[in-house]
Amino acid sequence: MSLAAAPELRTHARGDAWRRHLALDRIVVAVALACLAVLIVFPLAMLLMQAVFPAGAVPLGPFVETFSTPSNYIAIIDSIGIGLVVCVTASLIGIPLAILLNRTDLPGRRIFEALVWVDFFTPSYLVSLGWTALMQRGGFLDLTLGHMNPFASSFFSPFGIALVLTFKLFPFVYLAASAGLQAIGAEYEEAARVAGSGRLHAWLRIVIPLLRPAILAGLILVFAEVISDFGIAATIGQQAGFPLMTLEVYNYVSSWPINYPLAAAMSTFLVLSMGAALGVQSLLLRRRSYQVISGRAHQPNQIALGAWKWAVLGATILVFAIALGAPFTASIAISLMQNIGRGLEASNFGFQNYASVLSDLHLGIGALWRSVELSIGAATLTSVLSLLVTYMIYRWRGLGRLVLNNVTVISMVVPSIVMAAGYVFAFNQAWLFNAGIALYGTLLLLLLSYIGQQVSMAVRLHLSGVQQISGSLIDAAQVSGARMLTLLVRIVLPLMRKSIVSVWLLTFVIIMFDLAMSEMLYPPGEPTLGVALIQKFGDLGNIGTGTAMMMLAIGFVLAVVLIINIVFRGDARANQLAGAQRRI
Amino acid sequence: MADPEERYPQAFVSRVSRRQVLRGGLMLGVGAPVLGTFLEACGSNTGSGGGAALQLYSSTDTAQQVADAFAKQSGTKVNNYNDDAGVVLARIEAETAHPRADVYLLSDAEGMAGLAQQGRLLAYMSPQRNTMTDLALKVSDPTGLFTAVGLSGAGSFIYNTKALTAAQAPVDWPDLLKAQFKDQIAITDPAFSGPSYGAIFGILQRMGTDAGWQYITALFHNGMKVFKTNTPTLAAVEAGGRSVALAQDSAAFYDKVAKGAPLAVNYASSGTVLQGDVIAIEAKSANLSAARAFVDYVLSATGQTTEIGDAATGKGVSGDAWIIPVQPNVTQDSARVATGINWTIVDLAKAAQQEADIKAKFKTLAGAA
Repeated sequence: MSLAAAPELRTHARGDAWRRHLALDRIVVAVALACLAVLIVFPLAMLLMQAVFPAGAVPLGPFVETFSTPSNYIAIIDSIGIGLVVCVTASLIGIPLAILLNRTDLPGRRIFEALVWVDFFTPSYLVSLGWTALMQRGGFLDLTLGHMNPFASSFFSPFGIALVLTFKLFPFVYLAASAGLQAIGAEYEEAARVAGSGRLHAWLRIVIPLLRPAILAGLILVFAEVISDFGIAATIGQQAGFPLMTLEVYNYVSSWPINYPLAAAMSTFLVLSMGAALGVQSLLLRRRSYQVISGRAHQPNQIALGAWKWAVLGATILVFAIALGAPFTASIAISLMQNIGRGLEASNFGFQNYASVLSDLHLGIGALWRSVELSIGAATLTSVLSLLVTYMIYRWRGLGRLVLNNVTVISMVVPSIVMAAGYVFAFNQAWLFNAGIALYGTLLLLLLSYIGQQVSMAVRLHLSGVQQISGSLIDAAQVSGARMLTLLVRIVLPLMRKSIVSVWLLTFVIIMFDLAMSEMLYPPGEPTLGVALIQKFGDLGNIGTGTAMMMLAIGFVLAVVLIINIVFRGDARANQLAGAQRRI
Repeated sequence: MADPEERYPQAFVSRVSRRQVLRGGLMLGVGAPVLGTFLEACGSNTGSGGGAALQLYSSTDTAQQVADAFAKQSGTKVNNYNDDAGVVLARIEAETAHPRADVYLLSDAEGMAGLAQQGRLLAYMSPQRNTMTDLALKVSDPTGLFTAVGLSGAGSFIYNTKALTAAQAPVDWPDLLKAQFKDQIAITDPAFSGPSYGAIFGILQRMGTDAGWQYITALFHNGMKVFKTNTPTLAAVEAGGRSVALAQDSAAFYDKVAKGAPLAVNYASSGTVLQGDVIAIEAKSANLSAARAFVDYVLSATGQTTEIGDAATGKGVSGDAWIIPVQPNVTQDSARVATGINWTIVDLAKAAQQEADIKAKFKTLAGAA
């Protein structure tokens, strides 16, 4: 269809139209580049400025202050410590699970794999709030045990933080190890078996060592996720009084007395740690590539679990019961109780909490709807901008491509909370207000920040989609005289339909459940979903309506995902997974 | 006779698939909110300044009901932004270059004094001050930069009556260091709670800086635990995990007592900090007449009655309703102890100057414990 359109394009491109197209192209390119500069480069540059040259202080002073004061560097130690612990615990679950689901005859493997993805995509603060509803004094466990929950205070501790992070992040190890297992195939193992080696011996001496780089890469991702996570730090971490880096960045910016330079120094350190970790990770993955052998012709033999089958199945179910079952069952139960104090009596169940969320225009449906609008708006604008940038990276050569590539890759490493801090530093400057640019504290800035935070990921996902389009299609159209916009609209967009739908959907879901950007940038009195949930669970101690609102939001998002998947019939689903896999 | 289809242009008869219709509908569904978001976002950009609506930043949980009552009476719309005192103060400080609020109503007199020192507040001597109680004027700025709207005790000893009999309960600060209170004390984080900072400053003011810090260190050595806000602090004591809370008495405490929670309060014999919820007008407010009218209303007998309304009618949903009113002719629920307390009046200016250092030191001690 795209080639058939070419002759028609040629006539369009003649004379005045040609000139007009060229001018329009340039304007579009300029606008896209300006957007990237304002939405990504400007905030990050201001963040670095704030840390390196703070106003009225010694250059690099904030770094000295960060590393010389115990109350400041304790959070760094905490974050790194929890990161290392969770690496170990997450791999204790993730690696065996990968082997079980990839190489054995465990029943229900497809269901478990789907659940891994659910866990992977669930925002960490929702899991964490679910655990809060389960564990806190007066929570679900307390009610079922007659106010005798022995963990009500001990759970809100480093132990609880590590537990929740472990069950939230083991999918990273699982997915890395699964990818490794699939890449290795069963040949080596089978060769060893033919040579007379026992099964266990073959695994320990051959498969596990071959898997090592993949697993290590997965572990580094877990570590990076732990130190950049804000959702759990802001909920259980906050309650436990256990400071983590991301929470400290938030506190320096949003709790009085504020200290922008310290926030910037901590943020810079956080980004450098992330960059170092992910740099090592990509090196490892690159090295792995020449270990892969090709020419596999058959499926690896499945290991029969035999008598162990049911015990292993039970253990696997237990993993998901802890990861997803416990927090969300508790949330649903609490959301249906009219009065938590009355506990589990049948007459206590009803939809009162849901009704009160739906009638609360401020912290209830009002906040929910605000998030819906913002995430639809931001996802759509992100899609448009990311497609333009993707196209530029794909078609350009030389410096422009290099710069765009680096900007999008580097900004993907920046945790949301750091990006949010950058937005505060960048847009809350006196000279901007004097120039009449009063964006700080507006919904518009929040919308822009969502786009700035998501556009890089969208570009990287689109790039993997656009690689599948043969360059000759575009060359042919270009030779026929089509300019960039025509090309984009007539050729690239139709071919990338799947990728566009899935990236839009992913961006929509992420923004809908955003916490970090929202907490720092929401306009006073105009809370978003995440902000409202944190307030309901935390300060207001109102977990009944909190859980109800959480369920309404999850239900809404699931409905959107379902509708889009039906309308675009399977276009989206396959690509979503591919996209997520790329993120790994 | 021609086939009916031939009579119509191709476009009309070519079948539009259900999927296309769905997609079209979806695009429309997506497009409309996008446009709406943009308009809304742009609208909120130009909202502040000069308009009729009053922008209120507050940290008391009764602020909304007072704002609603004021709006009903005066016809002036009030946008209320409410969060923890620490968060609201951070927002106010962040907006130094471009303030967006007209009135601040904070449960943190020390923080408000800090704003006064930075020149962020406009002096306003409300006529309502003439009838206010002496106690209330003690925590109000004499030049009118801020005025107390409600009083409470900060760092009062709230204890679990199942765990402690009245005879066992602590009556003064040194009692808290006893072995019987090892791992039993809960305190609200002064980084987020104004009253908790007031209580900490009160200790330093009464005992002297060095002895005060020694005492606070000793409290940590005795296992004192820090909770973010009053809600979890009191919850810990109510549930019996801890037996004594050092907390603000108005917030949630009387509420819980009214609902039958096993809690009681002692006021330290050597002194409990008199904490004021305070109100002030932003120096750069463009909506001064409405701001002044709101301050007058909150300080008036009507406003005070609205604020304590919940407590007086026994509905009691909000803790700050249990303040001691600033007008003598407003009667609070009799359950609320308001007399016989040895009040410590903190030097607010000094407390504001030292706030960052004291909070940092407290945080270091908490982290080391």
